[in-house]
Amino acid sequence: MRILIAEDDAVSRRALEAKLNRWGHEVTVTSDGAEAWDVLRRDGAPLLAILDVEMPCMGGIEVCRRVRETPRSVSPYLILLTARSGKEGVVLGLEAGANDYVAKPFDPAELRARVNAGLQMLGLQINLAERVRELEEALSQVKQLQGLLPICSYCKSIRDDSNYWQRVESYIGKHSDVQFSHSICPDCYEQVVQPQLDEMKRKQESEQSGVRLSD
Amino acid sequence: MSIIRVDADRSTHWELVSPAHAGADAAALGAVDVAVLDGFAALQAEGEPDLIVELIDLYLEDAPRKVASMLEAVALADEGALGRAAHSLKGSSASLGAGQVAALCGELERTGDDGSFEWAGALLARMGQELERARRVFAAERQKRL
Repeated sequence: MRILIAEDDAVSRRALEAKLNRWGHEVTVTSDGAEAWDVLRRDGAPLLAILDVEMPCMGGIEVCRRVRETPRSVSPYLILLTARSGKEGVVLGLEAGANDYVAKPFDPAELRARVNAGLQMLGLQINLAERVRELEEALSQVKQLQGLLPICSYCKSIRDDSNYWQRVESYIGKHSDVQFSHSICPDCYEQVVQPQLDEMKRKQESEQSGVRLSD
Repeated sequence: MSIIRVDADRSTHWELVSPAHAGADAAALGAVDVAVLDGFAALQAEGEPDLIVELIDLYLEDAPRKVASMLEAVALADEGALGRAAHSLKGSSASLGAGQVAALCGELERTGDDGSFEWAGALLARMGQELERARRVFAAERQKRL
């Protein structure tokens, strides 16, 4: 996962970069808030950012505020680096949209755990966004039959929006993803098919008896 | 020994006034917790320049600038600037194990907070000495790794 860091102190910045690299992350390094915001505002920006609260040009809290004002399908996970005594900064930072904070000087194990918690949260968000995208795509393909259908009382043809009468299977096939396989229900078999078969049989028998008489 | 020299243009330098030390002398011992520094060895990436040397160089380059900012802030009675510079140097000093410098920066930060500069001059003078002791340890550690 690509992680952005914004830290004005060169030693702390390099040490943080080395730690994140060691933990297997690709790091985008910035040295103040304005530079961080310039990266985070772009498409394809890192989804996790570690921001120092106190920086020249623009502090981490202002970066959080700007990031939250920009709607995204997956909202970046923001961790603030605060002074151990800076409770005011923590409150302001969380109110501005930070997800978490780590007090400096930080314990590497604590930072790693918080980064991992952030990555887990992002993983859930990314999965959720993907599911929503898939559902939206599926919904766009679903055809629904809604409203009042004018249907012929005798032949059961349906009148469409262009005032054409269509057979039921043709109309439904056009307005849904349904496909038809033709068969005969027991009632129709009894009322329609069986009488036709009987009639055919009767005709066949009378033809055969006519042939025998002529012999 | 060496001193921190602040020029008229407020740029700050470490200046050696006696032959350079090849290693940390007894007086400098304890200025830096070398175990903290050694902790960075685990982060060393293969084929990359020595990370500890890199961090030491960054620190030695940056610390005099921060001291100059603090001196300027005290001269101008600018508590905000003093607090910011002290806070920044405190962080990098603590990161590299220079505990005494970090502690003095903490005191200077608080001095700036309450607007009282009474002790700032004395604290800065003490910090100059502690920073010099730390520099000697860092220089020796750097030498070991080259």
